[in-house]
Amino acid sequence: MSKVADPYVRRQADVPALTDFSRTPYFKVGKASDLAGFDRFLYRSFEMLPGALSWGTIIFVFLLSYFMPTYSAFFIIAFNFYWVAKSAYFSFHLRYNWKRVKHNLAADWESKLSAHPYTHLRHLILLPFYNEEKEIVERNLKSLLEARYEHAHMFVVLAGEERAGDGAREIGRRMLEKYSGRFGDLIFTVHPSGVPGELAGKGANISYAIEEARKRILDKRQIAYRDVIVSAFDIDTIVYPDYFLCLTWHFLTAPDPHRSSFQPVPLFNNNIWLAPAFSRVVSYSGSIWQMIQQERPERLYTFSSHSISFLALWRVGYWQKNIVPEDSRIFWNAFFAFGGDYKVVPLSYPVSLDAASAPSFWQTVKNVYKQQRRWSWHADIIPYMLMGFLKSQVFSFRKAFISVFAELERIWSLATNPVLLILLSWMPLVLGGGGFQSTVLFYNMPLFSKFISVAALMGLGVSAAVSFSFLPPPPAGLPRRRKLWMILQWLLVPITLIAFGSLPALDAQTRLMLGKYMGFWATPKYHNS
Amino acid sequence: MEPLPLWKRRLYLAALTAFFAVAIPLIILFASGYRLTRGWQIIETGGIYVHPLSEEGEVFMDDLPAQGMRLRKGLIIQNLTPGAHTAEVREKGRRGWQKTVAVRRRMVTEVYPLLFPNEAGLREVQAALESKREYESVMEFFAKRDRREFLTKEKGDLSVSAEGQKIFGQWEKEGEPAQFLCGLDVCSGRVLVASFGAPVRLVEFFPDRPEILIAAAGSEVIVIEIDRRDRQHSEVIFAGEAPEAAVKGGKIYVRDGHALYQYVI
Repeated sequence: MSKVADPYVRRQADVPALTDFSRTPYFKVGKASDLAGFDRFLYRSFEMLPGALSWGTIIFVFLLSYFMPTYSAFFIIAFNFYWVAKSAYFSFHLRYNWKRVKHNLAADWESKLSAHPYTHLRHLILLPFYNEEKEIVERNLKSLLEARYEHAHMFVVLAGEERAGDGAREIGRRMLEKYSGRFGDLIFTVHPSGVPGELAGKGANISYAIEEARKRILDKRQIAYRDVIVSAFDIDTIVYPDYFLCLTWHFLTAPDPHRSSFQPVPLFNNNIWLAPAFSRVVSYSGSIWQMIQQERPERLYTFSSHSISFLALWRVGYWQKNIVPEDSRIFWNAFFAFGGDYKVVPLSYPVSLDAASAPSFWQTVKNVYKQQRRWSWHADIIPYMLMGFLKSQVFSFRKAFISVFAELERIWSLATNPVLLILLSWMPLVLGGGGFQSTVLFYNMPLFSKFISVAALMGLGVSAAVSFSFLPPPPAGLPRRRKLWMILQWLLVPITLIAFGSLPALDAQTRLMLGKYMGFWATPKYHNS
Repeated sequence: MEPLPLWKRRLYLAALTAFFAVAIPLIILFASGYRLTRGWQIIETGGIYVHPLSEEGEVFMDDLPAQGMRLRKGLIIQNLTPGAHTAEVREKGRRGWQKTVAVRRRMVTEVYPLLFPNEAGLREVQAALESKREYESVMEFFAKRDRREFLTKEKGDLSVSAEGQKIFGQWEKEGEPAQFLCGLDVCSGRVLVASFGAPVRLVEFFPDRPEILIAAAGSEVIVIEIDRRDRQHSEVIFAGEAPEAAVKGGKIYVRDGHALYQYVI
């Protein structure tokens, strides 16, 4: 483990030490071709694992249904009940987190913070954007100004992209003109395009922006790195009024804030009344999953808009610039850099984002699919984790196995479970020949499917109730029946699970398996209000 | 408010894992036909599937109202001990139908009720009046039929052929059971389906019922079920000189000379 001084830190002992692993080429590896020799072969094999596992499962059920329909039926019955049990387990977590989010939204964070001196802390807020409209950038800045926190202690970085052209520069210039002086500092950075070794995307942009902010804001003002909390927000993020107070409280009360990330609940609420029903369902499904994970902190990693100690971020060399899902990777970077001594603190406090939307229905379908596929590219964490555990050699086999298994199960589930549940459950009935069609088992399978459907409806009822409770007021003039649709939309789940869950996940995993690496695709933000 | 305590999460997990571990073997056994008797004995049962069954149809099993579940267009009755069982279907306005079939362990025996109406309707399609167009169209259909196809017919994997006074059936899907033809056994070769007192002149499948035939033998047109387990149900629907039958647009027509009738079941 090595230690590096924070130039402005008060207690050097607090600077987290790094493992030797963080100085190896494996630490910031993006894909197999970043390595050489046997390591490259090994990493490539690991990249194939998620796709091979998912396709293997689907093919296995097909073959089993054809050749051994009775065993396939046993497998499917067992799987269906496993899914019911798993859903019940998750719904306990969801219900509890719903209560906690509601509690946190109502809490008086200012008075909670009165017991903790926090005026020394500064918030550094990164707002990366590409070619989004000025209104979306401005909406974000306004929400920061509406947040209950000392604005002088908030440093805002508008992080534009050179490849976005003059439009982005113009937006940055106009925002500086309008909002300079409203925060502790507001700077505009332009991430240069075509930097060798970088993948054009959010990771490269915010890493560039934060280094600029370090030099232009923190060092210039001699602010201790340990006193800075970074929030990396998607540009469509709108913070709820007490977000920074809540974040600060959690930062101050965390056992080790410099070995922690802080994860809010992303609610895709900004345009929820105007987004199509399937997009709403997909978006809320994502939020609900994040709420469940908030009660399973050992399974929680950073996603989308998140916050993190600057000191930790600086020590690990910021976000990776050569990958698509920098948000989850930063957690694993820190995890390996700090020898496993790193965790995500669930804030159980929401931020609001846009549900994927577009001017036309089919464009929205495309956008939602592409967004889900980008998120599913998170499967590339498997080769990184396996290589990390293999090469860092500071973890027990048990720890490595549990971590990889949990992640692999999650990735496998996303791609295969809806397919198994909704489509492949019928395979023994369709493909099962011979005497199978005259068995009691054959006749009982549709009856069990009915039971599963009823159980699923109960689960959907919980999801509908939770999502309904977070709805913002509808825009004026919207028909009242839209409220009813907000409930009925959940009947689309069987379709959305396949079309915007399994399919994009299989797509991403297949690309990774075949070495057809994805680039970063920024979800277009459609300002449809 | 504190996060969900770990002990509570572990408790949920343990409870659900226990539920899963205990329930799955039981569910699989139950789904396969195993049942627990009142005397705590595990027995293997089978079932009977009554298909098709109209909404008004009532099913009795061994003279008692059957407790079953609607599935697709039929009713599945489970928990039957292996052996012979009598399924009976009653429906208002129709003659009752019953069949005694063998139930095997962990298997479902399919039965295909054929309920004739109390008052079978033969509607005459007249060459004049409003039915003229129908008459001409059906008669043209009769005339254009290839007579070579009168004695053999195929529907899906089933083919039937008439030879002399007999009709034979053959199931083409190897290894697959067709219960109306061979019961729960796998069919092999040709199977005798029906035998009449006069040479069969024509054989036709009943609309939407591959397990029921319409045959013209001698001076009669007969509707007969293929299923020869227990009593084979049949009905003479027309008697004349040398009648022929045809199915057109899901309707059964009988022609005898220049006379044309529609059989309304």
